[in-house]
Amino acid sequence: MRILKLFILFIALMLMGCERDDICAETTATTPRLLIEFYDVLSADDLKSVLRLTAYGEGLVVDENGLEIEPTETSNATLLFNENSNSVALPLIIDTEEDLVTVRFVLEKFTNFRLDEDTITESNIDILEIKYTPEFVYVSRACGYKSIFNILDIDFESDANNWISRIAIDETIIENENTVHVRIFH
Amino acid sequence: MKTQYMCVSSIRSVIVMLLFTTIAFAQEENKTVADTLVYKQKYGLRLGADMSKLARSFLDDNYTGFEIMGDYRLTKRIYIAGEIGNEERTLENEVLSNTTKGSYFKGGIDINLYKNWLDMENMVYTGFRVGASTFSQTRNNFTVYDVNNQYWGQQFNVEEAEKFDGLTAIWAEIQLGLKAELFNNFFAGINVQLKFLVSETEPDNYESLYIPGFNRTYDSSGVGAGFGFNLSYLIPIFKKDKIVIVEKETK
Repeated sequence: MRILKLFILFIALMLMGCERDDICAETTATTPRLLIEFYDVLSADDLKSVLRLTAYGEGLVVDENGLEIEPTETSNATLLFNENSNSVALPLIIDTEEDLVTVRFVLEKFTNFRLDEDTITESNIDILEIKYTPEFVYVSRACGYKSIFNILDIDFESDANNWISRIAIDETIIENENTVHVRIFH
Repeated sequence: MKTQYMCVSSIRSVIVMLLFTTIAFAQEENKTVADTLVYKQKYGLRLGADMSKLARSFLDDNYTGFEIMGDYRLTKRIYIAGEIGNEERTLENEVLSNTTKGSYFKGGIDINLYKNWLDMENMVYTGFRVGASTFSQTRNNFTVYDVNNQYWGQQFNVEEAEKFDGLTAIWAEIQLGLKAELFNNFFAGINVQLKFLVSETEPDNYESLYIPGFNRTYDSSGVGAGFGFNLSYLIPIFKKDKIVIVEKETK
């Protein structure tokens, strides 16, 4: 009887030791996106939506022939399409560790002006350029490695009519999606 | 005639004597007697190998390993026991591939819970071990986990293998098992093992996914499990006669 009791205890302990950790849970923080919020340039503490914003990675929106076009509808390439938004999350390209990566995003304000028939009004495109180096960090056996990003520079291409006034980088190391990394004032 | 008579009388006296002796024997059988039975006991060093690890080496491409085990009887109940082994194990999943290679040693005691009948050396036991392993891990390749990897249309793989050397681990282990004599000094044994990691050297920016002797690790706890199936041979170093005194009573 004593042996049987011991055996049962043993099996119970063994089952306690087993758990499902072969599947990477969705709640696990893996490679983060770059989180941006838009603030009012006149009142730096207040969020301000960008009107009719379309956001996509440069060169990702193409027509059936593979030529680069301006998006006319929402697709996998558009992170935002023609919506009023005070934030955007940008997926960054993962590349060789420690290598400098430059990624460019198109942020188009007043997208509706491009889409409508009126030729007098037009949209305002600003291009955001992010320079960073990826770094791989071990997460777990199921998730493997994630990439974090060491931001070197975030800037916007200046043109005759920028809608972005300035950029504030709050987090130079993009480790997770718990905080906003960058504020854009407009 | 006189001699003839002599003969008859002596025969008679012999018969009478025989009669009396039988009476005397019969009287003695009514008392209790101490009878001694002698069983030849042999014990000493039992040496064997784990068959499950050998079989797995042949069947599983991602595993090679062997284990030699031994125990030595200290007292009727307590045995010194230990295992020594070497393992190579490759673990693969969607995001990474890893090969662990190394050796281990486990030492401790087995406590026999089974009261052997006469000359047997069978065991039902709980075992306690301290295990130690030195090993290396090679991360063969990995894919950076990114739920948004579809956006830029690429997954980033690192194909360069990286080796993490000089890793160690120490754990405590409880075993539950049995060993039974199949025939003439050959024993077969099975056991289950529960392990608790005490300490380990973690590779930098990585973790030990498998520890030789401990088996695979679990993310959030230091508990491991295993089993063994072994065949062993008892080298009869000592032969002791076990004397059993049986009290007999007959009418």
